[in-house]
Amino acid sequence: MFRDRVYPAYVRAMRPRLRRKRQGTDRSQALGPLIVFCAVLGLNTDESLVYQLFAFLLCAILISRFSLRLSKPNVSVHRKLPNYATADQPFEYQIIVDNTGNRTEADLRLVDIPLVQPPTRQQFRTEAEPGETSRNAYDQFIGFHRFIYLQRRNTGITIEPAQVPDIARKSHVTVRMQATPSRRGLIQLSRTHILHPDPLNLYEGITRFENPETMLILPKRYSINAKVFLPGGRHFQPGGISASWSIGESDEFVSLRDYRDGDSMRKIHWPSSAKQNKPVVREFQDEYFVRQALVLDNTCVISEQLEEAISIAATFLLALNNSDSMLDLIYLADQAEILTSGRGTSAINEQLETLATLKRSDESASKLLNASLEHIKKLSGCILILSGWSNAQKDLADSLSRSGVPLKVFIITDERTANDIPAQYVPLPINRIQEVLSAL
Amino acid sequence: MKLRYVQFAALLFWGLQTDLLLWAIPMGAVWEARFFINRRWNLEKRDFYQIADLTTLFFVGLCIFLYANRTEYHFITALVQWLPILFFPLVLVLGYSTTDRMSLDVLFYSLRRQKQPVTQAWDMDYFLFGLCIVAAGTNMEGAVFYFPIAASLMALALFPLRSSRYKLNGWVLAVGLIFLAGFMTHTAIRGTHLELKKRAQVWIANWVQQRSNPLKTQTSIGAVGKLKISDEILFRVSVPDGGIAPRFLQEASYDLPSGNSWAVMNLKFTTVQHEDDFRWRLIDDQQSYPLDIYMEFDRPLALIPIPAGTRLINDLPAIDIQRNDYGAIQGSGMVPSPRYQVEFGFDNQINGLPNKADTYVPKTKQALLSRLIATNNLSAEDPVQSLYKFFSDFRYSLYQDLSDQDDPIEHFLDSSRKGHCEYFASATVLMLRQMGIPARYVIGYAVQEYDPLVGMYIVRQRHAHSWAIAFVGDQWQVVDTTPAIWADTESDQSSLIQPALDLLANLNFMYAVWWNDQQLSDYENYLLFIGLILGLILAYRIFTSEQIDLKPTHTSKTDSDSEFLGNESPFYRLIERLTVAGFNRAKGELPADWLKRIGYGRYVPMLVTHQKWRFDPLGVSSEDKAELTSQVDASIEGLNADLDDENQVPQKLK
Repeated sequence: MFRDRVYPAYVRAMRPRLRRKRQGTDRSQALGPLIVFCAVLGLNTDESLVYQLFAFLLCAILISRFSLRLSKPNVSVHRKLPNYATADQPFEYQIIVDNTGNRTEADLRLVDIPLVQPPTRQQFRTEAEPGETSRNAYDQFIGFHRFIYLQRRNTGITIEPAQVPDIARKSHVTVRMQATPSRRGLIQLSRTHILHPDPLNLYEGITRFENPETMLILPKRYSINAKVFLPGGRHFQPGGISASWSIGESDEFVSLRDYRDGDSMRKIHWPSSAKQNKPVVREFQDEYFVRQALVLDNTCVISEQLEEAISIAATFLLALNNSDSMLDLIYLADQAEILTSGRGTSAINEQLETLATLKRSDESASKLLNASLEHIKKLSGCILILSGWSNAQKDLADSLSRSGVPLKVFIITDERTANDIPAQYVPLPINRIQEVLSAL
Repeated sequence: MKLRYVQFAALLFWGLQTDLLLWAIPMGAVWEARFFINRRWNLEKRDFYQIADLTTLFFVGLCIFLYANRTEYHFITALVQWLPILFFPLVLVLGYSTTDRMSLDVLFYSLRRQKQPVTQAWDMDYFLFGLCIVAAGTNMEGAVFYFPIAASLMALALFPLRSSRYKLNGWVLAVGLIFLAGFMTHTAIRGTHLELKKRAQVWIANWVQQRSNPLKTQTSIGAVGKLKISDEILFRVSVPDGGIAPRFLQEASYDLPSGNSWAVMNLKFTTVQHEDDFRWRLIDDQQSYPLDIYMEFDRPLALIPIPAGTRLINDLPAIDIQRNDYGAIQGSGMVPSPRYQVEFGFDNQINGLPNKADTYVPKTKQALLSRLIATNNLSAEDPVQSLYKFFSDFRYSLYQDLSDQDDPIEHFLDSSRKGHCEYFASATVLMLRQMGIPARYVIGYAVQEYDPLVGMYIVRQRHAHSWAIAFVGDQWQVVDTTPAIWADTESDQSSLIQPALDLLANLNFMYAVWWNDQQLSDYENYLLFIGLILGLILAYRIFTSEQIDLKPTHTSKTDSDSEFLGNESPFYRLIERLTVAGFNRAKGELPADWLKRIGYGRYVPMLVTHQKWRFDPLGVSSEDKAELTSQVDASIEGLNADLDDENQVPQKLK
């Protein structure tokens, strides 16, 4: 009841203020309390001289605000986003700032702003913040922290402001922005702000650029030792795969890219890593005639468990793909879908993109089973990732293990149900996934 | 580093303004020593927590101290003035530690329990600076200098933070404007305040009547409805062993009735000669009883309640006292102090001899008074006794109902026959005068409630009383016709929590008396001893804790500039000139790219020589060095000319 009432107020209060012309720096934020203090203390001008300081500060604030109008920068901006980024992994992108005016632009700051997406009423009502029960009763009642958490999660990315180097007139510079996505899926960037300071550096004027763009964030991944999960090997070679011209691991170098969790240490390209001060890996053209399947059960209603299941799937997808496989990703949409990568069928990117935008399916897990069984003869190994441990899911695991294909089953659970799971399957308690994966 | 010297100046300014220079100089010295001592202490979060907790403790202690001594110190003013001292340890420890900024969880206890790490931090240098400037403004002395000095210090503190977007004269212009506008604003604020105050004073004077005015007293006679009385304790009276308490303490007497108030005929006050500092003799008479009155005067000019037979006033914290013919003693230049002493006898000698006004009865009341005297046969041989008898039929009441047409006194005497002390006293004075006896109206306090806890009489607001004095047989005599029941009637109305409030007031009072009796010299040795011990412990802790030497010890060279090869290359001057002109090289940008970007690609050949100078193991020949030097000199000259004429700056190279 209370949540429903307070919801619109939160949405209004937390909405970004689009008409704002300036923003304060740390210094002006420190001046705020000081000027209030001075006003209170200097109220009686017979007893103290603090009112004189108040007058000075007031004029400083007013004049510095006013002077912001006199020195607006003449610039334009252009953003260059990478194709993908990974949830929870900081990444870098570039914004090109072009000085179109007739003087050098100095001391500018660049703020890139994602589209702020408040939670829907339904989300606010039903989805809890992790660890919400450990908050005090008042915080739990008013639910403000929950709102903030959900809004941050929906928005999905935090971008560090960056300092713009001096731009000579009619020239441009490239600014590197640091961003950290916090969830998988599509995120939207909406605006870019150029901030210019006043002479005293108390306030910053905002020059606004509408700059909407969308980018895809791949699911978060864990680091695993890939060899553990290769039940098959290179013995299995089905026909009909046309695009191969060699067998085994090829040294065909394709590109460099940022390190993602799960990449093998051997692939790190040390010279580039040293230059960029962060790990960079080489990508190779892979050729292999092993076909494996990754069956992802996306029927779980608990969003946290579903997210973890997708992360695990992405982790294995990369672990298996990188070395030697043709890989089928089997999941549920309106019906069971199979997406194959490797051997020229399609790139692993498509599978990752699919995972990045995958939603919970209302279909029954038995459809997944049928699709998998139809397909199973072609496979040398299979990994099944269950997002819960219901009867349907139990059935799926048991049927697949009876089919004779080497099978690994991973089950995302909470701590309590972890003990109910049969020994041949691997339970992944939700808070200790990395721990369990590393120990395998 | 930003506030070097400026912080010292701010501390000195604060010390000068608040008379705390003895604190300010050592504080400033210790602070500035930071820039000469290359030693920093490696402190952990926990250490900062402890110092912050200690500061909080001191802060609370200071608040309690100031509240307890609020008569000696102005609470807020003193608190703000001492804030720099209070926070100095915290700021100093930060300054001598290896940490730059104070994490907010040190300052805010609530953040310490938070699970996620606190990222926000404050620059405590500026915090201390701000405190000094504000605290310096709490003293009214140096009003002329405060604004220019404070504003200049602020400007100096803001100077290092200025934006590189503007040239220096832009900044100077902005600060100059702020100075000017700030000066005008504060003058306007002051003017407005003075104007408002003037108007408010007139307004208040029209509405509020002082009760204790020696020239005129406003009574509640004529007020309709119930009179409000307060239980607040005004002062206490202590009777030494074997002494006797007086019935009344008189503040003033009056002879002229005017409407519902009483005034005096003779407005003259005479100054009483000092017998000693804070000691005045009013009457020469050896027969006397001592009395201690514990009353704090919160205004510099006040009427002093004393027994009507007072011979001597001692220890009264006044510069001078004046008296009039009506027994009013007025102290001037009073300062708060908890106690004064009087010696008194049981007579009425402080009231001067009767004058004509003491027999004046308003014509409108004469008929009624004569009729009452005749019908009750009051002018018998003892008029005072017969008056007591006459008024014994009257009732004491704080409640009045009368219509606008009624004269309150006539209504009281003729029909209602009930009222409070002001009615009784006024009526008694008029009746006495009608019978030909000089009489006056007196205000003061009744001393009647004994408090065993402090062993003194308590005088509350509601013990304020008025009575009549009559000049019978060559001396003034008290005629208090108010029924004795009045005190009980009024105490019945006190609130239920009054005992608790009294207890608090008593504790506060006992503390104030105790504190007043303390002398610092009694404790000096203890304090010195404790200070010495604490100082030794502190010194031990400081010198044994983990320290970091900022000065690199491995280099034998004293000139830190000559630390890399080729640093003498003249090309650095060119780079510096370009940087000064506002062309900053971006992080990670190659020098050659930078030169091309800013449109000075023609310097790249020089850059090549420069880099050879720096990095080529074979080095560059002395001819090349000389040539580079001359090229750089020429370029800088050209650059100076270019930059003066902005249009000559080359376009960027595509």
